Amino acid sequence: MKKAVLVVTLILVSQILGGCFAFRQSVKNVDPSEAKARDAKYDQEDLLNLATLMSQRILSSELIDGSAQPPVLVAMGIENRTKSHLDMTALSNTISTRLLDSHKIRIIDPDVRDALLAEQGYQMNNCSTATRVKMGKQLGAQFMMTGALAEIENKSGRQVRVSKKHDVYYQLTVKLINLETSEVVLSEQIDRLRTASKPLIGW
Amino acid sequence: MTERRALSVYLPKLLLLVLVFIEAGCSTAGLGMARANFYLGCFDRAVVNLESISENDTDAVLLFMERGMIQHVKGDYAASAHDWEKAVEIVEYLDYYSLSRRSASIIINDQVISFRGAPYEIMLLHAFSAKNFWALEQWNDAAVEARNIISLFENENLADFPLDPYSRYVAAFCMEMAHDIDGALYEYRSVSNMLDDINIDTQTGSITADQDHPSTGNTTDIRLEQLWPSELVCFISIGQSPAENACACHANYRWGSAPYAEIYCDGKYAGRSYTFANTHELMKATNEKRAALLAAKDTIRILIKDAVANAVSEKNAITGEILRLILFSCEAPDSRRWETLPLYLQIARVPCPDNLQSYEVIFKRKDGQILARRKITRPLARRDNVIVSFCREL
Repeated sequence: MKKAVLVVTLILVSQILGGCFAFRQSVKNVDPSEAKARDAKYDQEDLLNLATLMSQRILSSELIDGSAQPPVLVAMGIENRTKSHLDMTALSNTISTRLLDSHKIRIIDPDVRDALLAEQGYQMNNCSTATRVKMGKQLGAQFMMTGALAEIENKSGRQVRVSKKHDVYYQLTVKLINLETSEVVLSEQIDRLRTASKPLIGW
Repeated sequence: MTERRALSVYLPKLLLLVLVFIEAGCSTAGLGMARANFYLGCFDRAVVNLESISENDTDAVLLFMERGMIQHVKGDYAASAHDWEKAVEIVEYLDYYSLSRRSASIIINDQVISFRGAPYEIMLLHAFSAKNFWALEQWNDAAVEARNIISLFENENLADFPLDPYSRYVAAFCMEMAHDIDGALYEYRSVSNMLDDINIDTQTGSITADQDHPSTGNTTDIRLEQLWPSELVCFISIGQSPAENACACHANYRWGSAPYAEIYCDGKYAGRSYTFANTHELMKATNEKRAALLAAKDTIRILIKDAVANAVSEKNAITGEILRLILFSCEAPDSRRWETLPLYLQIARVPCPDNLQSYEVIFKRKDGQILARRKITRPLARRDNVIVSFCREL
C-alpha cells in the first residue's frame, strides 16, 4: 500500500514539475535558417533563401567573370509590390552582402552618398593633409541593380469548411542594367509559393 | 433547498457575473474620454486617455483605430501608422470563430465578442493609413495599403457590403504616386463607375462636377492649369461619424446635407472638393445588411436567457428573478464603431503653384454660407508635380 502511494506521489510530482516547465518562460538561440514558418506570409526564411538564391544566380551569370577588376554595381534597392509592409532594405542588403562575400563584385550604396560627401567636405576643411581622403576618387558604377518583390494571395472562398487555406506566392525579380547603354543585361526571377491552413474555429 | 441556502450558493456566482460586466465596461471608459477630448481638439489629452492598449482587449482593434485617428489628426503620422498597422494585424489574427467568445455572447451580449470592424471601417483603415504614408513621403508603403484596399474590393465575402468610392480613389492615387500607371488607370476607371454625380478622368484622375447632376452641377470651377503647372490633391474630411446609439444629424447639424470646401492658393480660387463617401451612409447600409443575422441572434439569446432564469426560478424564485434582472440588464446591441472617423470624405484635385508652401481651405454649406476657414501648411508631400495634402474639420 505504502509503495503504491509512493509511486502515485512520484507520478503526481513529476507531472506537476513537467506542467510547471511547460508554463515557464524559455529563451534559446535558433539558427535562422532552421526556424519553422508560422504562416504563409514572408518571413526570415524567405529573406535568407531569396537573397541567397538570387545572389547565386547573379554570380553564375556571364557578366561576372571573376576578373581582376570586378564590375562595379550600384544597388538601388528593391521595390515592395506586396500587401505587407516588408523591410526591403534588409532584402537588398542581404543580396549585396552575399555578392560582396564572393569578391567578384564591387558595390556602391547610393543611400550613403550625402553622408559621404558631408564627411569628405568636413575632412577637406578640418583634417590634416596626410590623413584626409583624396577627392574625386569615387568609383563609377557600370551596372545598376534594381528589382521588385511581387505578391499574389489566394484564400479559400465561401464554402462549408473547418479550416481556411491560404496560398501566398512571391516573385522576386532582380535586374542589372548597363548604365552606359540602359540595356537590361541580366534579369533573374525566383518564385516561392507557400500554402498554409488555419482552423476556422478556435478557443 | 431553503431560500437562505440557495442565496449563499448562487450569490457568489451572481457577484462574479456582475464583476465580469463591470470589467467589460471599464475598458470603454478611457475610450469615451479620448473621443470627447478628440472632438474638443485636445489631442494630447486624448492620446493619454488611450495610453496603454492591451492587445488581448476585446476592443483592442477599436482602441488602436481611435488612437491612430487621434495621432493622424494631431500630425504624428508615424505613430498613427504604427497604431493602424497593429489594428490590421489583430484583425487578421481574429480571423476565426472563437468558441469561448461566441458562447459568452449567447448569454451576455455581442459586446463580449472581439471587435473586428465593419468592412467599410477596415477599408477606411487602409485608406487613412495610406494618407499617413503620403505625409511621410513613403510612396511604396502607401501602395501597400492600396493593394489591401483593392483586395478587400475583390473579396467575395464582402461583395454584399456597401462600396466605398473614397477608398478606391485613395487606392488609385496610391498607384499613381507609386508610378504604377496601369494599376492607377484601372482603379480610376473603377471609381468612375461607382460615382454618378462626379466625373473622374480615368487617365489623369482629375475630378470634375457632373454638370447635369443637381448636387454638384452648379459649380463655377475656374481652371488655372495654364497659370499653375502643379497639382494639389487634397483629401478633406468633414464632421463626425455618428456616435453609438446616435444619429449623424446631432453632431453635424452645422454642416447641413452637402458641405464642401473651396481651395485657395496664393489668394486665388483653385477649385472645390467633392464628396466621395459618407460614413453615416456606409454604416446604415452595413447595418441593413447585418440586420437579419443580428435579429436572429438576439432572438436566440433572449430565449436562452429566459430559459436559464426559469430553470433557476424553479429552484429558488428570488435568485431566479435576480438572475433574470442581471441577464436582461446586460442585453445591449453591439454598437461599437470607429467614432473618430469623419462624416464626409471628400477630395479636391486642383491646380496649384509649383512652390506651394500653404493653402487656404474655406468650408461652406451647400448654400454657400462660410462655416470655417483653415490655413494648411502641412502635410504638403511632393512627388513630381503633384502635391498631396489632407485636412480635417471637426
